Amino acid sequence: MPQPSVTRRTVLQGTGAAALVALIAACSRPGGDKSDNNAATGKFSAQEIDELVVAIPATLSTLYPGQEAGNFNYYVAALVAEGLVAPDGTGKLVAALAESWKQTDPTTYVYTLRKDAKFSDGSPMTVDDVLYSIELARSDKHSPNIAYYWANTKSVTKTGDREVTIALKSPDVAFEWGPCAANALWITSKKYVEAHDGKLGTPDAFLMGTGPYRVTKFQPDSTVELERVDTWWGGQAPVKKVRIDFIEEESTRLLARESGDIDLALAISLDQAQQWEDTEDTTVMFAPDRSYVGIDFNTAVEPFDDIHVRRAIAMCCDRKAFVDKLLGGHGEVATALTTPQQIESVLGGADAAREALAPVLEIDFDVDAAKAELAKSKVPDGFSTTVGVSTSAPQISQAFQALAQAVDPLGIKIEVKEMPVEKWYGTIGSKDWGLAYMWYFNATGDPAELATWFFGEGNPASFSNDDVNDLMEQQRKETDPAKRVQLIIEAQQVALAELPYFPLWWGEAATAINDHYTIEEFGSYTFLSPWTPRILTRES
Amino acid sequence: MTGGSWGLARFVVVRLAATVALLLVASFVVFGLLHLTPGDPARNLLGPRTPNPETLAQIRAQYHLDEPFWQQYLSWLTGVLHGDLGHSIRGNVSVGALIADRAVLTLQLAGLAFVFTLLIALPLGIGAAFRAGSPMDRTVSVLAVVGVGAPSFAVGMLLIYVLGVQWRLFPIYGNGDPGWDRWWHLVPPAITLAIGLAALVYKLTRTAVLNELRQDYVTFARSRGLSHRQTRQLALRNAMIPIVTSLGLVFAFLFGGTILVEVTFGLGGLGALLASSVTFKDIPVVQAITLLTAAVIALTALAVDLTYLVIDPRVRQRATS
Amino acid sequence: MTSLAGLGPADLVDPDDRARRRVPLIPVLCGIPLVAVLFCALFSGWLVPDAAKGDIYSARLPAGSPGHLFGTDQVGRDILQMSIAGARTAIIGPVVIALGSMLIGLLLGTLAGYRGGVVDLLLSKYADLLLALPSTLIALVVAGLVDGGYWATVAVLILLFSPTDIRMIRGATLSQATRPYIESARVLGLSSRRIMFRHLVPNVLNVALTTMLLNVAFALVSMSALSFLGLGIAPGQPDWGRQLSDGRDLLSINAAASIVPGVLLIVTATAINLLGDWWQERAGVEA
Repeated sequence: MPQPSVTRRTVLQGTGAAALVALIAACSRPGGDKSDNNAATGKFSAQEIDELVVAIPATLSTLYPGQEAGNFNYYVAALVAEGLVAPDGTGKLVAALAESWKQTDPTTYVYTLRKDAKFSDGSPMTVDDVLYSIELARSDKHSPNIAYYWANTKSVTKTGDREVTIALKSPDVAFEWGPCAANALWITSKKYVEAHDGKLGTPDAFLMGTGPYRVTKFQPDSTVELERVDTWWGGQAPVKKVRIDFIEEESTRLLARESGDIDLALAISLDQAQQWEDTEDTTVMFAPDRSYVGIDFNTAVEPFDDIHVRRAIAMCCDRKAFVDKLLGGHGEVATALTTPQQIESVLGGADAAREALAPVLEIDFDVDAAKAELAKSKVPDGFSTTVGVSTSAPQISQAFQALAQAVDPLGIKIEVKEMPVEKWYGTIGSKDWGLAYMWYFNATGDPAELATWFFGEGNPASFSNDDVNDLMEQQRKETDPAKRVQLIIEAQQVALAELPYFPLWWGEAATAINDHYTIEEFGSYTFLSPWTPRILTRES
Repeated sequence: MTGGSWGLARFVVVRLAATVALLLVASFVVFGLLHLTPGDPARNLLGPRTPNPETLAQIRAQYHLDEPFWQQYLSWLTGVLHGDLGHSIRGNVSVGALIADRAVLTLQLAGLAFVFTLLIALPLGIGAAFRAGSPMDRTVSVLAVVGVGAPSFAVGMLLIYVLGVQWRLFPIYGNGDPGWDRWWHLVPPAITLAIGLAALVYKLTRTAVLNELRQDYVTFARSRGLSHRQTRQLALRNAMIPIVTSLGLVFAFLFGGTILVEVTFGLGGLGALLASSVTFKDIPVVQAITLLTAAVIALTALAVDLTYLVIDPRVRQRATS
Repeated sequence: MTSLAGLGPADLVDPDDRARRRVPLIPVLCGIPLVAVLFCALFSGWLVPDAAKGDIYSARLPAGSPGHLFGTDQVGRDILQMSIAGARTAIIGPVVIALGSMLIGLLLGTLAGYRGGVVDLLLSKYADLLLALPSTLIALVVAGLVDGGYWATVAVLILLFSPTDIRMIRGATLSQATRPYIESARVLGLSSRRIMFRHLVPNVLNVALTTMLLNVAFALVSMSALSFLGLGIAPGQPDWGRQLSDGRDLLSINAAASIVPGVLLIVTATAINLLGDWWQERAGVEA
């Protein structure tokens, strides 16, 4: 699963700077409003682009997402290497390096490979390369971040010239998302990796695959350069060169856009979205990013083992206000662990998806009801607790600060403690942190992705419920997508009635782009498959 | 004379030995402290997901994290003595390869900033001392107080805005390509670093020169009829000693203090890597950077002391006798 | 971490105060804001008892909104109230840091300077070690060990400031120890402890006071710089450094959220700095 990217922009906290920046900001645009704000209108078409400069707010230490699985590792890898299948714009799996695939029985998947796939060094892709790449992905040593996804795999065998068969230990419909570059497989050349001492994705051994680009330069902590190849089976991408620069400091990134040095800024800070929009020749695009933010109550820790306590806290969360005030409206109140984008391709649209998820959890903001709940609990007079929040999640910190104020009249004291993201990992499921949160980016379009972890063994809430386990077991085997979605929703409904988790919001990502360009069918899956062909240029 | 050069050699050898001892102690202290801090690099590698115990065990074994503390330290030390700095847990590459380019960049940045600092501070400091009490002296002195307090981030942003966005003289961010382009990219961040430090160096230069100008020997030289120029040269030469001492510290400080500027200007140097490696507990990387920084600082101190010997014969006599 | 370890006031002191006319303008000009800040720091609990309380429904109001002169922050706290209450952490921590590191400096520095020998060697090696390690590293490691928090930051900065103070005091002690009055005290048979505490320390105190004033200003800036390591004030508590960094994201909505604490921070630091300079020159501190 892609982890929330750790940015070190917070490094600059409190250096006595903001005043000056504010002055710069104030001086540089005296008019405020600018005339080309609705520049997004106009005609765009696919045209050749010499170079596209992209800026991401994080650094990459490797280009192989198996080793470091941040969102941006995925976005870069998507241009270079591919899996057997790939998500389309709506999150439905379509053919990539496999021209077709079928499930022959509940535990067996057969993939037929493309004939015309070539690596960027010109060599053709073979079944051996696929077997080798899967082996890399399954290895804890090479791919510590994704190997767990392959844990249920019994065998991977060559069953024909262009055919690979994967057998599972037990039925699991979600496995379909495994051999996908959006999740847990990047097909690379066996010869190439062996020639580089088994290394892949490092500055000495660039990531290499069958995608539309090859890596020409990689300086960790600084930049990646990609160059278009003519070996891609999908044809030629319109962008000749893509340079991806790592700029962690948001103000610097904004100035780089202002000067025209960068064309595309991924994952801009929601708080600064307005400043980006005010920048000349810049459009900001918002799209749901399939992220989930919610409270985890560790039900093995007092007093959170008491459902009345959990309910009381949940009722003090004004989630609508969180979304409107803290996210500036860029997000939506979450009613389940599954995001609407993960079921909309099955249910036929975003509205149907929301409607299906709405009844999963019905807890309204009501401080009086919360008081009554707490009165029924073992700690009617309140208690004190601490929650650890990653410094990379300012909005979540603010949400907990607001919650702390809301629960204060009930006698509940919540102290918010900020910490580096690695330390936050340690709070998840820990007995020392009864109150915690999860910020989770769903890697796949599989609706059970988060539920499988959250209801399964070793989940962060110490939650266990036989009915839920039953339902989850059923959905693993259910091959009818619509029925499966129903089972997954039902499992969440049963589980969330006990409130081990309290969903707060589903997030949105904001992307700023030079308004000379636009991204076609921009959505939550855009950057997970070769995405430069979607970039259109304004017609002059 | 022969005795003198032997003495000098002994001085250098003793100092080098002391430096090695310092590095050894520093490496042990850092290794030990990192071990005491909570957190597990293997777990960090796996992200927030609750790790499966076997996977965790396998990764810990791969990076020898399951061995006792002493054994880990000793095998790290043995590696270093054989020129192997170890393997980064996070990046899955050898530490040497990981930090080589960054160390060069940080050295270049610190070096350039050092030169700028001297170019700004020395002439101003000396000039102010010669004209102590004049309006120029007062103006610069007040500016220096502001300069000391000016936060590097704010100065950096201002420079990016003025030099990069408005005047388009310099690139806004990034490492640039090695060579001329690299130096061009490093100018604004180096100026940013220099502004803060120049204020300090200015103050101490002014003080040192003033101090000398008021010594008896200057009055004496003047009364003996030495020209204004000659007495000033005499005073300057003697004022160099405290200045050079502090310059050594200034360079060491620069080398260890580039992190804010690196982040502001999107540079891939050692500072940012150190901060993220500490929170990740990527111990081999932290150790390598610690050693490198400590070595640079210790060697700078040695260079300063040797410069002393060149400037001041009296010290030479004491050191070598 | 702005403290340039190893340098101290003695290197920066104007050796001859006659060079400048002493105008009491500086202490007065610097004193007014400092007294105001001190007043806020001492009485913020009474002046603005609810500064840390906010109302999410009135979050992100621009400056000049009714009832909120400087607007509100992301969680709806009033910027004016927060800035008044923020004086507390801005002043107390740096003062404790300056006092703490100077206490260490006085104890170990006089010991090293007076005793010399092995004690001196060990203490100077300790100072060398601290100076040789990158301060970011020390701060991060200590943060991990003691689990963050405001007072942990104070402790880290005491640790980081102490080698400079030790060196300063050692130097000052050395210059005093060879003076005739100490010699004569020895000849008179006074115990070394008595010599140290009755004679040396008072003479060294002048240097100490100057260093401390400068350290307060350094500490003020350093404390806010350390908050990124998870070291420092808890989110939501009033603190200038914290407000400044949190406010950066609000620039386009309410610039006052960062400008007000930022200006307060800069004014306070500059005032203390100038006051320190003035004291140095007045007292004629020597190396």
